Amino acid sequence: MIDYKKEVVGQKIEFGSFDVSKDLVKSYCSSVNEDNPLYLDESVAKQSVYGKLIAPPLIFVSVQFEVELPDPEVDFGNARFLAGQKVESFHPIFVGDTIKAVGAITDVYEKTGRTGTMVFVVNQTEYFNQDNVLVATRQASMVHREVESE
Amino acid sequence: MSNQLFFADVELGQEFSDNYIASSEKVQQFLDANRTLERTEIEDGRFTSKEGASTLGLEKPILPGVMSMSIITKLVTDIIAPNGKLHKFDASFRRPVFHNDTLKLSALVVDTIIEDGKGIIKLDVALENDRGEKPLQGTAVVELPVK
Repeated sequence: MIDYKKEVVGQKIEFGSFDVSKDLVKSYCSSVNEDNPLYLDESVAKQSVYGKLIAPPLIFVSVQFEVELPDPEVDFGNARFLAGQKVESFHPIFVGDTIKAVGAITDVYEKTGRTGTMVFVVNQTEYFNQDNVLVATRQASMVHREVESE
Repeated sequence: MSNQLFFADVELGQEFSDNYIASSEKVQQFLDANRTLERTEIEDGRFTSKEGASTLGLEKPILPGVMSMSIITKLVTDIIAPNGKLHKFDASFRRPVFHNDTLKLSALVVDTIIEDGKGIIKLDVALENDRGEKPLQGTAVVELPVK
């Protein structure tokens, strides 16, 4: 049985908020070769069903909030990687929106597979716009594992 | 802007694809533009140097996981633009994506359904490297306009 701080599971945290600025969208798009005019060209976006610039649906992965999730202090492994994520989009995110995030660690579990034992820490975040409309949810799993240096 | 793909235009088994070269320059650009990564991950050098990567048993520096996710999501949003909607995206890593990998991004249509008058398409998505491995695999559920 892996040791960790069980009391942090389910503890809801308000991370704070961020502004979806043109600059944020522009730099995100540039790094992944994104050239969709709905994100970048005001005149095209104005003619679209959205009527104004929108942000790529995963824009929130590019933001560091002031407050972070509590550390469950998993007593296992010497390295941690992103194992996967699930995103659900409910409402467009517009350039100019202010997005706030609320989240929690929802699960910590151990799994043994072909490559040995791994411990997964799962967190769930909800993103709301300035009108308190839920725009998206994100579930991310971090895997803790033992690795050997080369 | 690309021409709109409609629900009726899509067939089961249809594949969409694109390529992306995960250059070290692009990774640096992503790191400069994005501040979501844990400090420990930045500081151990796994994304930027061979030395940093080797401390984690990796032969070369790797792409941040959220960058790989963003790259494959771009293919999906390209398919559905301008008026389609991304509803769900779910992907997991099988192995790391390394700097300078040439990646094939693919999205295979595995289900098409009309739900409450909406054209819903389910896609199997993957990043495939030039060694024939698929480091990132998952699914996406999108909505396309119905004619």
